[in-house]
Amino acid sequence: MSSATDSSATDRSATDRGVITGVLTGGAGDGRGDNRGGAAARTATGSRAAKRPGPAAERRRELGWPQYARGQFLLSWRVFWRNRRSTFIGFLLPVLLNLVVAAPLRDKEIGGVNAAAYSTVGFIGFALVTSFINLLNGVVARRDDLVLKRLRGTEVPATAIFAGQFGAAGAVVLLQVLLLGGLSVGWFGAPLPADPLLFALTLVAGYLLFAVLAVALSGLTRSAEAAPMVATPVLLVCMFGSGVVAPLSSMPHWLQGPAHNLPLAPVVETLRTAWFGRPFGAETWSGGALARIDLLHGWQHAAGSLLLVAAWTAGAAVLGRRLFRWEPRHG
Amino acid sequence: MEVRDLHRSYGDYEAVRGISFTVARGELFALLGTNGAGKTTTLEVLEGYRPPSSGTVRVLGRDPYARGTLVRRRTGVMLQEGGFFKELTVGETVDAWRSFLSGARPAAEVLGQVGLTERAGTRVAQLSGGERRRLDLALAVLNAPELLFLDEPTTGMDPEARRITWRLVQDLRAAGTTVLLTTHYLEEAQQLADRVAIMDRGRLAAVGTVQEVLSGHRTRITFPLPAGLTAAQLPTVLGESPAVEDGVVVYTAARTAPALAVLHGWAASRSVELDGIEARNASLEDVFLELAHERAGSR
Repeated sequence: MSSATDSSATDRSATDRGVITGVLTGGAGDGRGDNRGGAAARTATGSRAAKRPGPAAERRRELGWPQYARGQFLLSWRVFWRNRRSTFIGFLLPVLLNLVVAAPLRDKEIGGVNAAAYSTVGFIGFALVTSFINLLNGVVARRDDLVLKRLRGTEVPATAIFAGQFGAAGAVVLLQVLLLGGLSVGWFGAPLPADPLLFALTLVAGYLLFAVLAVALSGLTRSAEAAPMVATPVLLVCMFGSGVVAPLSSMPHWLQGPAHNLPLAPVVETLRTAWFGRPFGAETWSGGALARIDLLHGWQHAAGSLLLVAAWTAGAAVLGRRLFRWEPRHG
Repeated sequence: MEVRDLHRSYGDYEAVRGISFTVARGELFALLGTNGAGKTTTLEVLEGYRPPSSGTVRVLGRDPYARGTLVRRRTGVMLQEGGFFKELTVGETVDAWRSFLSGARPAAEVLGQVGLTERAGTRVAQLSGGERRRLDLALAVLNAPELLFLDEPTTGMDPEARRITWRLVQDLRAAGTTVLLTTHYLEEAQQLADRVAIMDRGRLAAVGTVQEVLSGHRTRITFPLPAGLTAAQLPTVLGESPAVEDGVVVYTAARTAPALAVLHGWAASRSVELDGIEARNASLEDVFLELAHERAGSR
């Protein structure tokens, strides 16, 4: 842009702003924003002198919680796809692993279902963990870069800031579920989910658990560089100790008890129960097919796992209240 | 805006130790002080980041900590250091902020005001320090705030950016915006502020208009010691004897004109030339130095 245009933009911003906005930032969403800003801008610049607490202030359009959350959602969404690391870990990793690890199992069976489809549900669960890592990195980076502090200095309530960030990461998970699920049905010959409601509920509950855990553990993470030190153990335990690919029964016996009680295991188990309509949890490679169960028995089977997820979430929330910080530690 | 007997501690450390002041609507109030004087802490309490340890704070008639959203719809905050998403461009950052600020003004208008129009397509990570400060300022004034908090707004800016910032602040003031500013550039306070408060170790050492704070501080009159004279031959002026430092004669006078009249009379009667005579009113800097001096003396 020439410097002549630049100086005119500075001097005549009030009168020519429509044109200049068009030239400058004619990106998505700009037209919408301009219409909204128009009336307020006229009060703001045209008659700034008349800025009294009275009519001018009332004419201003005041946003509410849904708009705050929406703005935060779109911001987080854009930043997620702009950042290569988050796109890779948060989006591509579960999908790639599914192709590499689950696909070769498609000639095997476990518990009466296709082993590749079985593992795919495991990777859907695993996507919650990558989204956890992603949120942990995101929260720590935002805190250390003082973005959280800046956001908190605006009118946006803290709940909307979190809702936007959780929402964006959740939308990524949803995208992965559709992709992995479609792959499983289309390629591995998996049936459609037997109990979509239980599946969705478990997914949401599991997502919330890991999202809250990410916020809680951000408080233990001193810096963005230290984030892998917190994230990697969680990732490894969830990858290999929660029945993502192989059933828990193939682990050493003494490890199975603790593994069943880790946060991801009950989520994966219940997702499988909901998808295949069979009571997963004690399946083995050599064991026979699990009996089909109806919806009611599916929920009964899932109740214990869901309670365990709720307990983990509550624990994480308590921890989060104690540990979460808006600003980096001084010094 | 009203602050009454504000205290704020961090653990054992008492950063603010009982300060009171009010800022009227439309006024530009500057908080001055050295690092660690408690300026930023005071500002953060007013911005609603933290509650006071004791005392009360009212901003636009409300408690900024308890009624955050309500108060902040009408305020703008420029932190001493605030972060951006490095992945976004300047334009995208402003657009994102517009999506969640009530009454946000058009992006082009605000970018024009801070002189960043040309940089709209640049990633934030590529901005210079001064440009980042101006983006900071753009976000702070985006919602046409009634009350603007500026925490050391021009630190790290080059003279051109500082000029842009001062002009913007003056425009906002002219339009009726109330501004609370912290700075350690005394010149900035002298240029912009209606009233200033000098903070020292968590307390207010002086509050008032620049004139008031300066009054009671003396004018310095200096001239090179005329050739052929010794210090002993110099007159007393309004009861003050001069000091001679490195061949420069220094008088401090409570009243400038009479002091000069006495000196000129003396010079005329002796046929002495007072080449290079200068009378300089006390500046905030002098007040500052005096405070620092007193503090050193009181230890």
